[in-house]
Amino acid sequence: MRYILASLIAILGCSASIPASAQLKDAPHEQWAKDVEGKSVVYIPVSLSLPLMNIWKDELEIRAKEANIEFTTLDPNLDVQKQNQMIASLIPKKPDVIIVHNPDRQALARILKQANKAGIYVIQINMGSTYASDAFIGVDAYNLGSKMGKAAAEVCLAPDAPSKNLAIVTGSLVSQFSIDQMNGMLSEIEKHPELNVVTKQVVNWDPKTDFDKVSTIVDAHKDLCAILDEYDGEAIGAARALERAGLTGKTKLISAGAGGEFACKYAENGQIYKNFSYQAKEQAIQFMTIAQYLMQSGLKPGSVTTTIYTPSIEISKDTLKDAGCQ
Amino acid sequence: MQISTRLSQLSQEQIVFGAAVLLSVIFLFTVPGFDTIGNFSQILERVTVVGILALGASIVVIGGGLDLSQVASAMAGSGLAVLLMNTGWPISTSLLVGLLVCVAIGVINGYIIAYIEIPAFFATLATNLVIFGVARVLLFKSTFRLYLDDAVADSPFFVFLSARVFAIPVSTLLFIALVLILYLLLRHTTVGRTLYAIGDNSRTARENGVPVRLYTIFKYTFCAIFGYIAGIVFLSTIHNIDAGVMIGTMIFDVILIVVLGGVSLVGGRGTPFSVLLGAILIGLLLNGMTLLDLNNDLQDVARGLVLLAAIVIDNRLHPRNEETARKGE
Repeated sequence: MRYILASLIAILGCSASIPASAQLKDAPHEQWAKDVEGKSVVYIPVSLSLPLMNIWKDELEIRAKEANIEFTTLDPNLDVQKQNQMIASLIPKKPDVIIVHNPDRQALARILKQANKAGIYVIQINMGSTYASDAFIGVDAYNLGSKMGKAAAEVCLAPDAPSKNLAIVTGSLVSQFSIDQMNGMLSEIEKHPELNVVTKQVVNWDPKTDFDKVSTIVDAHKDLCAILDEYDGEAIGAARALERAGLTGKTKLISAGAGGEFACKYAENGQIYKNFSYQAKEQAIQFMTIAQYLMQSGLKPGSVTTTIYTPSIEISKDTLKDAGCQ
Repeated sequence: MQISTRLSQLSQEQIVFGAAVLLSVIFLFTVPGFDTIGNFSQILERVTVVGILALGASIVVIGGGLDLSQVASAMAGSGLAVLLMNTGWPISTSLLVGLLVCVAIGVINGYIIAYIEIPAFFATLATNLVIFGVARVLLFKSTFRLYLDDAVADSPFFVFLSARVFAIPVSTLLFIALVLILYLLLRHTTVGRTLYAIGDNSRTARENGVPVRLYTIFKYTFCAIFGYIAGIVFLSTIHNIDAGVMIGTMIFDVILIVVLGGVSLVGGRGTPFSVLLGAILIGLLLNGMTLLDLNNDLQDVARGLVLLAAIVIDNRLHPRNEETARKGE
């Protein structure tokens, strides 16, 4: 009896020390392990200075670790030249997949094509380029802007709106994402000629600049019905400016961003009236899913193009539960 | 001829004051929404953080130095204070710990410049990068922004700091109080007058027995302390500390205000009132341009032109001495 018990413990002990992945012996798993495990993925965002790209990084790290993928992040810190050089220096090292966040449609197109030619899969995220690589996955910025514009039109055309004047705050004048998003906003606002955009401000994604400019704007235009602020990471400055001017809830702040706890908090306390979230965490899961698919596909890098637009959801006081905030 | 002679007799402070008055009059008639009390308070509030930083920087510049690490030091000290407050430390203790970090950075800067004799530009450029790197590893681990917990943000200290007295923000009143305190320190104490002497000619000061090296440490430490105060005001304004600011362009705004007001980069010249005037002029410009709906790039062009004009005026008012090759002698 004692012998049987000791044998059982020994067997259990051995099985506990074997990695879970090694226990599965079915053919798909073996093929997956062969194609994915130990492969390398390099993530190159525009900069790690913004929360969105950090959320992507954290989630990608978790997913890579789960799949035993060697994962590296390179941070060009908003320097396009540096980002270009980083990709160029990766080509001879030949990682299996590059996940890249374009600063605009032109800057990295040529080097991404070279990476594809060198046999590296290239996934472009949230901002496409003029070169169509293996995959583009991201939110449709124009559509996101349209949703924001539509929300603004709704509140500004409501009978209790303080006026039909609204303001637009954007992150950058040169970012293609900002331009597309702004065009989306305007496409909806321009459907209603009675709506008046009193100002368009650029704040370089900086909440303090956002605070300063919105403070000035709301002092000059106390009756704004809405402020459309491109990115919630900067819009916290606008939220604070409205709070200090006693206009929280009166002037509706409409924004967009990565979602998560941060967006939920601002929606719950009413500082951001509506936040259209592109769910960065879920996006990152999709980035890694496509990376794994490409590694297993046997496709020649650059031979097939896939485009996936990730969904955006509304986070507001009324949708907290549906948005997964509660 | 007479006009140009009279102009050359004016100090830079007077010229900046005149420019501020002229700009105000122009905006008064051309910019809708400019002539409200709320807007005048906005003008001052907008430059409060950078103005307090500039006061600290002016101590170093008057003493013949330069501190490029001031903003990074301010954000690191304030960031640490945020982390401690959020984990339940008393606000006063957390603020004190943050202050000590900034003091330590100031002392290190001063020591490197005074005793290892590395030029201030390179020394503080290097410490700026070191502070940023260390802060990223220890404080801003997976985020670039540290948010103040709601409970801390709603504490009496932060509520008071972001409150208004007769439409004027408390933080702006603090800025004005610091201008007065620094003026008294620089103009009416031996320490202050010695600092001007060192900035004017450090060799002569040393030959006359002034402990120049100790003063160097003193001025960088004070610069860091003023920076830290600005960091806490920044925190009270938007309830977060941003690591991106450490490597951003804020330090250039600080230098712009310092130079614009008439604190000459060669040292030994300028007062805290120069800094206040420089800050007001920049505040006026930014405010007017925002109300006129000019984009950021044009605002940067305007700021660049103002800086250029300030340097040209400084050059004209204090030409280089051909014998000593020093400006303004």
